[in-house]
Amino acid sequence: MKYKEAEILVIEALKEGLDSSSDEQRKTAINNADENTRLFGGGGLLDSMGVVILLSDLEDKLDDEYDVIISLASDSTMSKTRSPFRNIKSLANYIVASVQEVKA
Amino acid sequence: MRILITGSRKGIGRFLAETFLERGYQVFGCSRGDTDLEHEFYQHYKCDVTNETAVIKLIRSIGKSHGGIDMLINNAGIASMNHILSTPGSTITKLMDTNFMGTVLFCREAAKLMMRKKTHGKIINFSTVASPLNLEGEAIYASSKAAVQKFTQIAAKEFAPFGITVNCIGPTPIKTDLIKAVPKDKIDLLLNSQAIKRLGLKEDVLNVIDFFLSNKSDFITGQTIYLGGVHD
Repeated sequence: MKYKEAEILVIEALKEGLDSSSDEQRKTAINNADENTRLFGGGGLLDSMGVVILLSDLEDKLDDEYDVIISLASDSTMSKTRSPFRNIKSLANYIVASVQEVKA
Repeated sequence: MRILITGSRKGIGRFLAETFLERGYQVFGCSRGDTDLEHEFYQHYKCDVTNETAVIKLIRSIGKSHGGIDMLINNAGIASMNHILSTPGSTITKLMDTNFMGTVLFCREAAKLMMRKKTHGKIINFSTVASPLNLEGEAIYASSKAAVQKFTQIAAKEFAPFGITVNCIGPTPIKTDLIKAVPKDKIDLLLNSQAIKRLGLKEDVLNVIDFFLSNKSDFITGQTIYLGGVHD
């Protein structure tokens, strides 16, 4: 899996997670998201509940779209400084590395 | 209704699978080996509950084929009776992996599926009266089940925002393969610690499970119910 594919996957998952209850500020931030968008910790878009929902959605999309069955669980998921979920770039890199590991 | 029962090849798991099939449920079961249970609404998976990848694949397979699950019964478990001083490390690992980690893995993956599908799912884990009774010779088995109870309490909190309840049953000894190697005097000693001094029946287990699975029990989570009048 290439980095750009993982980045698109993350942004798609974030957009699909929006619903009628999402506030306008959040909708705008997600619709304009790029690799530097902060996700978790320090003013990020997600709280801890949002992280586990995104994690689950990403596992689902990886299976459906790339036929990769994987757990994205990590000991540092909830770390404010080391979490792979801290921004879209770190998450996309983490997904690429995790997929590579499974396929190795 | 779609229900997944681990350890469904024999004993209580088999009894529960057959009961829910009689009620018209779609039942998914798993065990390390094959099963002779055949039914139009029964699907069996060969799965080692301690194998993380196998558990993930099993749950995802159900999600794809049947759109999700409504209930999970974490029945798979093993027992071992021994003095602490003569218990091999490999037995400790095996007990903790099967009884505790197996339960955690199935809870984690089933809860993800329930969350994605917005199923207000119900999860039931298995403990034992050996845990509150602090039985000699059951240190490792009882500890693995005590871990399941603590996990149940915290999972109940973490899964509540998704409408998922997690509860636990603590059966007394029941005449199954699980206790066939336990000496009679040890079983008698255990029964004498209960308020009601008899072996449990599979129907006693089913009664508590029905209570937890009832829609009327939506406000009950993180609880352990022991059979036979045993308490912490």
